[in-house]
Amino acid sequence: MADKLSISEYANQEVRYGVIPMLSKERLYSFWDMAFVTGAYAIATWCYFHGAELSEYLGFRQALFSTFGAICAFIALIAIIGVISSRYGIDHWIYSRAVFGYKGVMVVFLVSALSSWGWTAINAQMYGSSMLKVANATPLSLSEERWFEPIALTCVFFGWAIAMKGPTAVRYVTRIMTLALLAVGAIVVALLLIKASPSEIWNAQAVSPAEPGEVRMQYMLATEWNIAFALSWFTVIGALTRLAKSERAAMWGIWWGYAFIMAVFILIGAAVSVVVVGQGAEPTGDVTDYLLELGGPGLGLISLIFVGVANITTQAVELYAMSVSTKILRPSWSYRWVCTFWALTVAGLVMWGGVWEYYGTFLAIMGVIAGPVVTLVILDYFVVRRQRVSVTHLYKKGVYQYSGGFNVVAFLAFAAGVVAFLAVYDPIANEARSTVFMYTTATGASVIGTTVAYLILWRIPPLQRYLLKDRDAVGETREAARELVGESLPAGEPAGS
Amino acid sequence: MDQYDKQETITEACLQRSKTIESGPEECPARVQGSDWWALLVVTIVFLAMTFLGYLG
Repeated sequence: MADKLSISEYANQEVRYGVIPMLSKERLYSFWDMAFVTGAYAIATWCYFHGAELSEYLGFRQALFSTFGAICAFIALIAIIGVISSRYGIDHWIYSRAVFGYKGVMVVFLVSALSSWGWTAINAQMYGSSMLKVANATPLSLSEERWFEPIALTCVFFGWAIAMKGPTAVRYVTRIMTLALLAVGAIVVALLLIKASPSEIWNAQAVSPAEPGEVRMQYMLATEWNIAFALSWFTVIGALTRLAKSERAAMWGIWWGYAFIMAVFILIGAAVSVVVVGQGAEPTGDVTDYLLELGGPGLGLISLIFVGVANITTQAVELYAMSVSTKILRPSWSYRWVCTFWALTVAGLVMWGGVWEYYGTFLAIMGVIAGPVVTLVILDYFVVRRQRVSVTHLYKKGVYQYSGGFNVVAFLAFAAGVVAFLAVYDPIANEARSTVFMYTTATGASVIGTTVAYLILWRIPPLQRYLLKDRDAVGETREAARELVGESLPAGEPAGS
Repeated sequence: MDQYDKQETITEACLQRSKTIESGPEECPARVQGSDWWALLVVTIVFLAMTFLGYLG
């Protein structure tokens, strides 16, 4: 495609499909677009599954406090990263070159991306499972062995087809889907209220209540899952918020879409489970069974279809954002080829089928990585660099090269975060290792560990000079900016901030 | 365009636009206001408190 384009047309194309900074006038997404896109990304079958998983250990009231509390609080960190991307029109992975170094960011990105694709494969498999259940509730009788994979792969295919059309197509599709999904959510809530009174729902107990001495531990474990669930999608955020028309749209669009809407749907999943099982349904742990039980073959099926289809928009947003982000590895790669490569990777993981078995492990890996990475990006920009960065040097191997392309200080702080995480929690056995877990959770501990380590290292003078090698570059930029714009730049206004 | 030309085009566009962004606030979107930061802080504290209330039962 690029062969037929002029140089300027190619450059313009790469603004939307690559790493080139997006100027203010080129932005596409308003607050509502941001809320719809992130909301459509968040709402998928996994919200209901996650809610059902929580309901195994938490009653409705506890699930409400844990889900809304943890998700809406911790998404603030993601929203702040969204502000950085929106400010400069760059993916947060580009900014992360200043944090981890030019090569270091590639390592962090690849580890995060591989974990993300595990999630995306699970997303497609959940779609396959839901749709198979829908088909088998009709006169069609499809064998799981034969049809599960092909149906799951259609989710990848449709998501890929939308992602290939770019951010405008993603915006239109998610607008329609988010509104439809909110309507479905309202229908499910109405069905719940028909089946049970508000006080019955409020007092509904967990499917497998914990022993009296274990209640708080179960609550904190569930809170840890919620935090890991919320932070795990930091990988895509910068590719979306660079499209935001204002920093405010980026910040609050993420908060309402990612945090609030997602928390609502997780809670609906938890409520459906506790109410349906509380009324005598078999506790299968499969929320699709519960939805069918709740709404019967009519409304239950419609809910399943819509929530299943929502997985396609999740695939589309993920494929678009991750394909754009992948180009930090090599900016001249074709977006179409990268998107197709990742879609085939997800398809391969779906056909392998083993990812779903390790759902908890994927969640844990994301928890281990996400806490320190998110913390480092925020600390680095707002505390260490005081919101002054050389955007020019983010695009050339200059001051952000550090030691052979790696910021050793950031990686030390990252390691401190991982150690703090593992010191309080065993992610494989899903067990707390320390009573500290009861007060911080594992991701919370890793955020604290990373913060303390990075701030201590930053205060050591030689390391401070190491981290702030870009000060001269920022100063040069300021001078150059003054020459460019003359009097229009206030004397006290730092360029690049 | 071969890979080299593409790479050069992208690098040049990135550097040019970086300078444009650094040259003045008119090329950047409207900044988050102080009131938004305060609102985000308050909302975060409220929801953290909510998590703690759930812990207390």
